[in-house]
Amino acid sequence: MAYLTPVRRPLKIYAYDPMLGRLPLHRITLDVLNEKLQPGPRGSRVEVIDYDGVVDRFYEPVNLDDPAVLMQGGLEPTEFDPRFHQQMVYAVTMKVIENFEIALGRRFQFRGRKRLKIFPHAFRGANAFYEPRRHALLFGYFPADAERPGANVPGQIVYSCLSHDIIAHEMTHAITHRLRRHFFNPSNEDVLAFHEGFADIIAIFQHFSFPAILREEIQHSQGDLHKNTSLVKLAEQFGQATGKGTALRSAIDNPDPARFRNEFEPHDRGSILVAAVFDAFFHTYQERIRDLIRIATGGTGRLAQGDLHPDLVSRIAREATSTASATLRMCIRAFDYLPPVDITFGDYLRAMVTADFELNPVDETGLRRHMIEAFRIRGIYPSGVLSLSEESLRWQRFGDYSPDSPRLLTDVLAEVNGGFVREAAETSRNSAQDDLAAGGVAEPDEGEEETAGDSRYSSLHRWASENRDLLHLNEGKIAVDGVHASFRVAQDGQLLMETVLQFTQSSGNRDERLGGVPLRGGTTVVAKANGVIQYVISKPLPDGRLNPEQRQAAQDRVARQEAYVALLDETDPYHIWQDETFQKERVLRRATLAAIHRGGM
Amino acid sequence: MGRKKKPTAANDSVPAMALPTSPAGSTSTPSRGERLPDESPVRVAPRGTVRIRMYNTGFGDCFLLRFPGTDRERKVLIDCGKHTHSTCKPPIQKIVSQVLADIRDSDGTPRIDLVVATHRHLDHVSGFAVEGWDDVEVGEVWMPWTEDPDDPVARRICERQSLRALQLHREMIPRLNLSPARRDYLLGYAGNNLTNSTAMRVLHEGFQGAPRRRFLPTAASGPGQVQTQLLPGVEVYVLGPSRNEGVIRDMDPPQGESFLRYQSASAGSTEVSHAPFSECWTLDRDQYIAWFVGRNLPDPLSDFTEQSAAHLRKQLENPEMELAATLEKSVNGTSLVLLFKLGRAVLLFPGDAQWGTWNEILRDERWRHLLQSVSFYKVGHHGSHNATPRRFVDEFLPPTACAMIPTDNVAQWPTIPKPALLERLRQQQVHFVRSDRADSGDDPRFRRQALPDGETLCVDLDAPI
Repeated sequence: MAYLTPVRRPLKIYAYDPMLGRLPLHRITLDVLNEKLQPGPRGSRVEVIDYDGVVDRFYEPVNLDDPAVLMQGGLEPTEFDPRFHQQMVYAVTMKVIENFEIALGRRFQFRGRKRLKIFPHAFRGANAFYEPRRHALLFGYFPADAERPGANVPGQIVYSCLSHDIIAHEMTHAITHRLRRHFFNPSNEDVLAFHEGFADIIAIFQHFSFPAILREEIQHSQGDLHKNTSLVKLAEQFGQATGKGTALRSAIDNPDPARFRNEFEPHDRGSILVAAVFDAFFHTYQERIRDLIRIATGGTGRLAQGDLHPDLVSRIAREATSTASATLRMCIRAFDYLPPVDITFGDYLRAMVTADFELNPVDETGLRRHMIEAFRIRGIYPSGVLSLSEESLRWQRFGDYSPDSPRLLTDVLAEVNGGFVREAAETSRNSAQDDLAAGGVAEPDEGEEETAGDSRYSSLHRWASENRDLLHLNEGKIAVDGVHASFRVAQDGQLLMETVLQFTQSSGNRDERLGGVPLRGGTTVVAKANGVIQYVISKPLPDGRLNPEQRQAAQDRVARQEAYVALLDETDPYHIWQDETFQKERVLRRATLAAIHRGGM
Repeated sequence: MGRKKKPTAANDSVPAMALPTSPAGSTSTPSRGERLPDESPVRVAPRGTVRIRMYNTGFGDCFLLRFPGTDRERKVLIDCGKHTHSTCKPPIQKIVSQVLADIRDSDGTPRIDLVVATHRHLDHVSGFAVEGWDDVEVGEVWMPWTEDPDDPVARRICERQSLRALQLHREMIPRLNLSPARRDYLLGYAGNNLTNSTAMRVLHEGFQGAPRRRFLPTAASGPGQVQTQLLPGVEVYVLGPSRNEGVIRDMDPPQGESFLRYQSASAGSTEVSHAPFSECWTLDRDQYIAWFVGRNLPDPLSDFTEQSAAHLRKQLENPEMELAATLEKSVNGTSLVLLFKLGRAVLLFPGDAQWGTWNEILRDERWRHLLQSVSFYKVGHHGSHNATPRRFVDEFLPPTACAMIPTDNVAQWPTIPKPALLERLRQQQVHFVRSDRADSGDDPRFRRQALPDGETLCVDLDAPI
């Protein structure tokens, strides 16, 4: 009689990195979904290939199904065995995928079901990056700074693949690229910054899912998670080993609208987004533990000096975890409500508020309220809203002002959704039985539409072509960029099923002034299961048929992109020394270069 | 830099009382064995103008200003250098001899009231390494605050910059597997950032008349008007480089890590001993595949071919160009930005200041007002796009202004000078002239002097006061 396949697989990791991992508490066990694995590890979504480009050699792969490994719940953390490194990158990337799956309410797959390749020791250097063309994560290793190594030995080898934050950050880049492939095309100053900031948000909030550490930090800071704890810092060993003297980045800032106006290096600008989201989390959390503190202090709200009662710590930790995961879910869920191109931080706020409202019409915890406030005090205002009230920030519901709102063609929707229901049924039976051989469908090239030989795409394409006015699309070519269904349980206990469609268009014009990034427009459609369109979230290309307001917005967008390229040109020292081919594609090439060569993930 | 002596004067914010207004005071008589090159035809600026002479050094800067004074004219030399990548022929020695001739007073002594070195790039200072400056009587030498030998922040920036330049130039580029042409190109490019110590020693310690050295703006006063007796009647403002932390960050060369990685990557390509893990876990490609096949598992490298591995390795090496460009920018960021105002003549010399410095300047209420009255603009950084903000041309530079662009068409740098910038200047009706193509000036006020072979020697402009 066979045994039931376990649902989860325990794997050990450094909670942060080996430097902080010297504390036993900072070596933790991460539960990931159990799937059929080959040595590598190679699962259905990711595969680790430990190829070292510096020496042109491979390192022996870990077999996580080996009884010796299983029996101890995964290899013990160590810097010296590359097989532990492979285990850790696998575990953390799987955790990130799982967080996305929970929030998005669907199984996550890369385009064409192609596995993401992970190279834990690809090169020498204090960096790590996601490479879309290769569909790979590349991690570097490097000797710690000789003069200012921080809490490391000078010259000691530091592995970026042993930093939880770096892994989570790079993995999020890969997933973001899957969900919105045009977000690597810098069409305004927020686009790359969003990519960076969002990746940091995922890394930071995963810290709050490590219960033992959270309890320790709560005890240590008397519940004030705003203090400079490891929880709010990113890539500490990395930052110290590169001579920076501190963590690479932090989730805490001094809210200052001037930063939002003047900061445009993607990581620095992204950190404003991180700080805003963290700020909203923190205020919500504080509100949620206020009653606990009152109970514990006999109503004074003032904690006595010394240690907190362990029960209180546990209760506070539970609130922190639950607020953190609510925040994380809200951040990820927003993706379904984002325009497919040219994102701004303002769009993101609107998408978060809308996404959260759809699931929880009543803002019981105050998270939405705090989020809006956190963006406001940093000077981030969405364009085209009348006020910062929640109602005006939410994307306008399509049917709100016209009772007979158009529907998706029923047969298109039936076809689309039928496919998803079948898939969901198959994959949810038991993920451990996933067919490893599946996959291998070629990913469509940049700019081409995702046909994947799927009749769903052609019928959606036809539908979009027939409804250009409704979707704010012009007469040009339309690409169907994404079709997703999501299944979630709403606040009222009902199953909420939505279909999310993305259509994009390109001016096709690789204008030299824009440095190789064409003008792009696009529309995200969110529809209910019965075919009623809920939201049409668009960034149209300039077109005569748009209404005056939309036309103005489209023109503003063009102007904004031009101004952004001009700003890049003025600030970047690199391109002036380059030849003409580079000039034509400078914005694209700069984005790649920056990713590869600038120190720091 | 092996400097031993302290400069004559420290960087106090108030001028020393006893400072002579004339650079005379030296008793030494210049003894020169050689005959001077012919003097240029008009030596003294006509009354009511400031004469601006731009020398054609190629890809480099050299400007001589003559301000009228009640007793005598005052001379200001701003930079003197030439990039090794210049295509223009006259060697820098020739330009220096011409400068030395042009600054000779009627008593036979070469005198300059004020020497300005905007930043230590070769294409701005290499001329000072040429013989002949020992005899020149100088009133004061002004340099950016980052040159101050007594300022710890300045020292750190300066040392880091020159260390990085040295690493690139001496260690990294020679080790790379490059074509000779590419290597020479990169060496020249990185070489621009070397300490240029001979030239800098002259600027810090040389000249006759024990000139006072000033490092601007001072920590105490920051950017603002410079109190000076050197140029009676002329208001002099120092607009940059800023001492703000955000801007200083731009001056700091890239952090160590990318250099470390770079060094080890080039070293590691020959030495397998750099592998971070024990031999027992290290497999070559065939062994790796065999490891799987031996366990009845499919080949894991079917879509990671030898070619993809080679491509990966290639992609990750040779960031030298970007490193050099970042370094280049960080030194440009130290540029001294000066504005001279005498009546209607408002002359802006921004060195090679780049975005950080400009951004700071354009945000400052004091400068915004002053910049709208600029009558002469020395186009920054040889006309490259990121040394002249578009906003400055669009919103500040008045249409009647004149501009000079010391530049040279270097084949590898097709966007210097930036065509769009020239077009924009034209649209704004700013009259400009290029040092390398005197015929580019559309205004008869620019007067060109040619060498016997037809190459431009210098271009003059008389700016009315």
